[in-house]
Amino acid sequence: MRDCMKYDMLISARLDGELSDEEARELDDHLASCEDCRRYLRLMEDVKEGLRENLPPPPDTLKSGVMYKIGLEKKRSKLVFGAFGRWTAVAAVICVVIFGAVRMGGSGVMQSAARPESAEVYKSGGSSASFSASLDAASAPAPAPTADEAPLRASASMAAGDGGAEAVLTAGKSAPDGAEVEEAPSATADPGYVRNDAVNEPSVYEADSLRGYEIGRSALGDGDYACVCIFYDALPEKLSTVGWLEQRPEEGELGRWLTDAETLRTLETEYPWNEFYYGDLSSGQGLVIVIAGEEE
Amino acid sequence: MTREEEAKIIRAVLDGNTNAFEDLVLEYQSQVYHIALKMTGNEEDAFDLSQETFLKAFRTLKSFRGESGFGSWLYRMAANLSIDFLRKRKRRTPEQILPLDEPDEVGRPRELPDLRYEPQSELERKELRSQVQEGLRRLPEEQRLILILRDVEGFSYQEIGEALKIELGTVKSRIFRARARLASFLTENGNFSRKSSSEEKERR
Repeated sequence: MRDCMKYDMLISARLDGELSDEEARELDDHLASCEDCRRYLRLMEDVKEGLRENLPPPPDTLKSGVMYKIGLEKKRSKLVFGAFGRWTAVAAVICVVIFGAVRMGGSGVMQSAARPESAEVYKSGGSSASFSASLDAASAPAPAPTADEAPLRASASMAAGDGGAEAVLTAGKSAPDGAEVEEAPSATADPGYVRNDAVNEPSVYEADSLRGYEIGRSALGDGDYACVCIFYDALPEKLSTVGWLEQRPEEGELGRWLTDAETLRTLETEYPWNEFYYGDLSSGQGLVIVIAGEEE
Repeated sequence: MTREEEAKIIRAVLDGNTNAFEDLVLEYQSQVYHIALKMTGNEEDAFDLSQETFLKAFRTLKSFRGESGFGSWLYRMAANLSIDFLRKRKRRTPEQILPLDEPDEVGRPRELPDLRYEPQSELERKELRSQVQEGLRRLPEEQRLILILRDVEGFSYQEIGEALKIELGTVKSRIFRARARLASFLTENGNFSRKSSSEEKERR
């Protein structure tokens, strides 16, 4: 019977150069007199050699492929709420509807758009087409993206109240307080959004009494999901909308914003009749931007 | 590449200079590729997995805290993606798992590897080495991974612990068990000369 079990462990550690001096001595002493263990050592060495065989270098296409795909993602992220991708279209539509309705002063229209029935359409269809269809009554045309790099465009045409909606939020790169703005979209679904950790700081308003309806979820890939929520707050003529969150449960990170601080500030100035509420929905959900609008 | 250089590159990428990411790819692509290659056993899957690793690293770069080196972070990502990949693959095409030593309560292989490993020739040693990939394939993913990190990549126990977020003691014993299991497979299933009878010894 071989009692050399404990030496197996030492042998393993020796192969890795992780023996203490004392252990090394102990092992050497044993090896001097134990053929079995010497064989085991040799076996382990050969195994190690075997593992190191057949290690061709990676093909050049690996690097070029990665950089190419990164380039694609970067381009997309410039069109945060463009018409690309399911989520961006949805998001833009929501914004459009809400702002449009505010301008029209039609809270009725707004409410119909925000009713949970729309939610079901969204959930079942899962496509911007079906969602838009449900909002057709609110006459929100599909937004045309602004493809240029100027940050935070699109407010103008909506403020003009012509109902024509541009993509509301284009990622701005320079947050005024120097906070870092990251472009890190998911390649699979929503191609563009910007996260900014600075936004996660609690802001001026409390939003304790929010209630909301989740109108849909989507897997963005990699376990991310975004949840688009429309909230009603206490006063019916006040309209609230959206934030959408990105949560990465795997990374243990709490909700991060799909827009940035500068965008929010711009919205605050451009739509003064709206109130912006920031508050925690629940732990793990991060912050939600709630824009409450009322008639001008 | 030093930590400082890495940090600089990462900052540049986060500031919007995504091309800087290329330096990180160049620095680590070999290791990532080899991990993926040994985990999956074929170049195509290894290629896909490697790309996915770097893309994921790019997308989540913001969350890299810099406590461990970028490499560790990256290897952990490669490791997790590989393991996920293997599990998915296993679900689709269940492998024939050869009966290997099951660990006893203490967690050590119940049976010793056949120690009648006495290669008569260089040819036999070569044969053993060529069987290693097959033996590797038979290991559970976690054991396969740790052997790869140690023997293929040459990471220290410390580095492995950092990458996999496990303690040193665990690294040591997991490596040991992986090796013992692999050795068992090789000597029992290979054509290696046996001097005496094939009766296996139980260790108690």
